[in-house]
Amino acid sequence: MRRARAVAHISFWIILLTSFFCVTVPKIFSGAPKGSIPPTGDTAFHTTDSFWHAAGQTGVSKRLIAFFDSAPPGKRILILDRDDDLSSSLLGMLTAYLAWPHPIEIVDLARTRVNRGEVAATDLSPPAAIAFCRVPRPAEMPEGKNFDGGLEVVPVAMK
Amino acid sequence: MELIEVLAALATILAAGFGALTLILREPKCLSFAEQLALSWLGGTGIVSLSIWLLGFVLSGPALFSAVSFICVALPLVAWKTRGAFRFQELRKANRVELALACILAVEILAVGYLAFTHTLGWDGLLNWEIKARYAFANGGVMPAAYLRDAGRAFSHPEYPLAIPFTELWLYFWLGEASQFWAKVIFPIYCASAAILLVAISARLIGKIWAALVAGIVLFFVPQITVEVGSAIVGYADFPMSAFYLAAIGYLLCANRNSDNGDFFRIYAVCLAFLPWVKREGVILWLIAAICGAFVIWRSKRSPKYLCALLPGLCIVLAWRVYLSQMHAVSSSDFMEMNLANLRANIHRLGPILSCFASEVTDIKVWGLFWLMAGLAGVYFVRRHGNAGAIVLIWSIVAPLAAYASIFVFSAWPDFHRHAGLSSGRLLMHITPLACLTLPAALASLPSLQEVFYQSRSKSALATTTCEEEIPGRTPGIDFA
Repeated sequence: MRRARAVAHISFWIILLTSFFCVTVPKIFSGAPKGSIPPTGDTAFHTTDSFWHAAGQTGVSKRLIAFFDSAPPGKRILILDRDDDLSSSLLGMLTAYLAWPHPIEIVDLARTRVNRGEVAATDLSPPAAIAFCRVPRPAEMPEGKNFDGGLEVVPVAMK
Repeated sequence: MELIEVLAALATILAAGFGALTLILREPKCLSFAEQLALSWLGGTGIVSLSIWLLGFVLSGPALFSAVSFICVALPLVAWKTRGAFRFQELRKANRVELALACILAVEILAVGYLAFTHTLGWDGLLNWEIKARYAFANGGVMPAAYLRDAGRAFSHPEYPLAIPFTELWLYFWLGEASQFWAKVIFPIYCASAAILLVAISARLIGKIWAALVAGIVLFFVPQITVEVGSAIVGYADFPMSAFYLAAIGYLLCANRNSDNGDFFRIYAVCLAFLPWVKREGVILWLIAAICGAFVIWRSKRSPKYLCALLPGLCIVLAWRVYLSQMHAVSSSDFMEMNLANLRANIHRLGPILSCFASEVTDIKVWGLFWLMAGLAGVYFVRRHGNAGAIVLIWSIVAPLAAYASIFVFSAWPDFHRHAGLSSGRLLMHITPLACLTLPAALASLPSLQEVFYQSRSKSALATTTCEEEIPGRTPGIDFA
């Protein structure tokens, strides 16, 4: 009886561990390649450039930074996105990330949540540029610089 | 060239941690070389990031870099001068099963490293953590006040603590430029450290190295740890925090035993102190681990002086709060104010939030059967360790879950389900390596093959056959008792 219990005990844990590995190993092997991007030439922007990688563009981060560098220091960048569109929201935040050291104001056009740039919204001065993140530019606005991935930046008060 | 600079940055972090560890321990020989390296990494990242932040009040640029480098070099030199030659625990020769399991674990760690390099930083890894390192680097190593006050960038949580971003910043100092690629190098090292500490602590508590190695292997087969959103490879702070939490509670369990001369308690104190410095939720883990520490002090009838171990963490929490308020840092609008009125108004959310956490725990795609195994193994742990040890481990696993679930009652998101659902997986990661500590207790409690075979042979009058003859490859390592 004791021997049977011992064998059952060992068998239970062997089955449990085997089941664990059977469930997780396929998941890990199928999940591992997702989001895998080989390092491009410029390691400084490996992650941000990967956003535009799918569109076949390289070096967008540096071009975007160079574009914002031509804005007067301290002038804010207005970023328009939609929180109900994950890619638009991510693009808005990536643009904000790359726009440093300019102050930024993000306006969520979907209005599903409180505007993240609510405090800065009291600033009525014209922004240096307006970034449209997968949001259509109004027809009355002049055409801006297209950075692919749905990002268009319209200079308003640049140098 | 970049690789050499990164290696130099990592070496200085390890040197700082190694020196500090040698200085605080009465008898460093109680730890193996690998264990000392793992603890050196955890301590080193804490010391370097904290030094950059504190010295950043008076220095910046090359002067700040030089001062922190001096600390990194001085600590091991002072330790060598005052303590003499560095000493490590001598390990017995590993048997074949232990070697095979150790090789599997090493391959897993290398695979995690490879995955980290081929994947990009995750959303939070870039926009919550790396962003701080990049902006600080552009400002001579000091967090720009403009960033802390920038309401437009509140999405990046300027109020989050700086252990991870300033460790990345240290790499940037050495590289001479910010690099989203090289910033990821620190995360596989946290994985390796957590695995080593998990094995070392388990082996010390249970006494079976093979069972401890199995626990280490299981950890990296949990999809949430290796490949899911927020996993250890995408630059989030959750896994590093789980490593600190594992070390804090694990060494507290070791300190709970009579054989401790105070060294394990010191390691607990160091890891405890850095918890609030890694992530905001670290304050909750700090409080829970501090209660565990106070409980162990009381149970083991130690001097109340040991309570001083809680002070460094408290100082870090207070200093960071004061700094944020002095800098007028903006905070994210993810949570409403925690007061009785809000609690009364939103208490009805508790049920749905608990159900959200329950569905996360039972999500086989993300966790496999991990929580089922950990739950069952927890019963063995309680039976094996009894009283204080079991209370500490169970409390340190259950209390964070309860605290995290309660916090979402105050969620400011219109859809609090979504808020809890997005965060629950990553929050559970904080306690996952610690929950792995229960597995070796279950494996070590299994009846031995020897026992089973002897019973069989004695009944059939073949007791003269020895176990070695029956199973030529048998070693103490696969002896199931």
